[in-house]
Amino acid sequence: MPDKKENLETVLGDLLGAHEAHQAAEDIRSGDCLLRQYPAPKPGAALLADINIQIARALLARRRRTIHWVGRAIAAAAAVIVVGSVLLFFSGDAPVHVAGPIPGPGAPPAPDWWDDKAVEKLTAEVDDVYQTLMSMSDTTYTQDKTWDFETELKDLEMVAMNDDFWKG
Amino acid sequence: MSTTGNMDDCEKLNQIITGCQNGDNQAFAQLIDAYSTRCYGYFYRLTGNNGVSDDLLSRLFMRLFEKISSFKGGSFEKWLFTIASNIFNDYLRHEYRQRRLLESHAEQLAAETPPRQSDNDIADLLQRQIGKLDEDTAELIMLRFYGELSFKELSDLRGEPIGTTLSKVHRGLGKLRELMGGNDA
Repeated sequence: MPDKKENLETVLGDLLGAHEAHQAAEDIRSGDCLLRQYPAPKPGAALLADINIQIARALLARRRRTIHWVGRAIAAAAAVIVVGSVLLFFSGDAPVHVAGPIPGPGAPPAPDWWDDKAVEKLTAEVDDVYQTLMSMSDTTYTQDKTWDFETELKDLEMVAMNDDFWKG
Repeated sequence: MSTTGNMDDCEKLNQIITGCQNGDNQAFAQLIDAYSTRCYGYFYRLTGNNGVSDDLLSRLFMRLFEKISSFKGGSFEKWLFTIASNIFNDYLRHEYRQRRLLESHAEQLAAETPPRQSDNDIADLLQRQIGKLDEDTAELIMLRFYGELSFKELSDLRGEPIGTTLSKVHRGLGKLRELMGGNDA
């Protein structure tokens, strides 16, 4: 079996004379024969199934981590874009005022550059991005934020079915 | 699974490895199916114990799962059996430490737990004789046989001249045949 990769006589011939190399190659081949005559036991089906399940679980965990990481990255990028947009919006003609005017009986009237509709629109966009991210990261959690064992079990069953299908 | 010398097998193996690197569960199942018997044989012949071999095989495939993205081509068998060899040597170090601990605390208890006892010693004559070889030589022989590694790959893996590897395997197999006496006929 192992001498498929190399010609023993050639390898041994580099170190020994032709006759000795032939003899040593024969010795090695008969040693291999001995190992073939007494085959080692094979791993049990239960062990192989267990290893497959461990790998399926590890794959699921890795995918979940990737989704969370991407979600966080998108959230961070969205936050930067929103903050940047707000700053750019307010720094057009007037000095930057992040906090808007406080309405009240004694409050001064809103300055000319303040636009309530634009602020509402931006707030709605931020909420929309937040909701999208929450729905992306909620694939394995139910609405009350508890672990969804049924989804996990169904995933594992699907993986096991795929394996069985492949093995015929 | 023969993965050498045959273009189709090589291509199939490359597809399986690519699948594993992309996180395809079926590809991992195929890889386990293809290599579990040989890897199990390697561990079993070196430990002589089914339970330990089960544990080492699980560790091997979990390590493979973690490291498969770092495989950049070349001989997959050499890569896989290098990991297997590292796992076996970790096991040996752990076992050695445990034995030292047991010896220092309870010599009697240590004597009751021989290091390389086969589950079915009586049934497996070869296993008993392999236990009589030194660990280094036994591992080289098993790496070559179950890993199907060439002498060049073996000497690279062990970081020793090819002549030394050849000599160890030749002498080791000779001793094994001698120990087996007429049983190998």
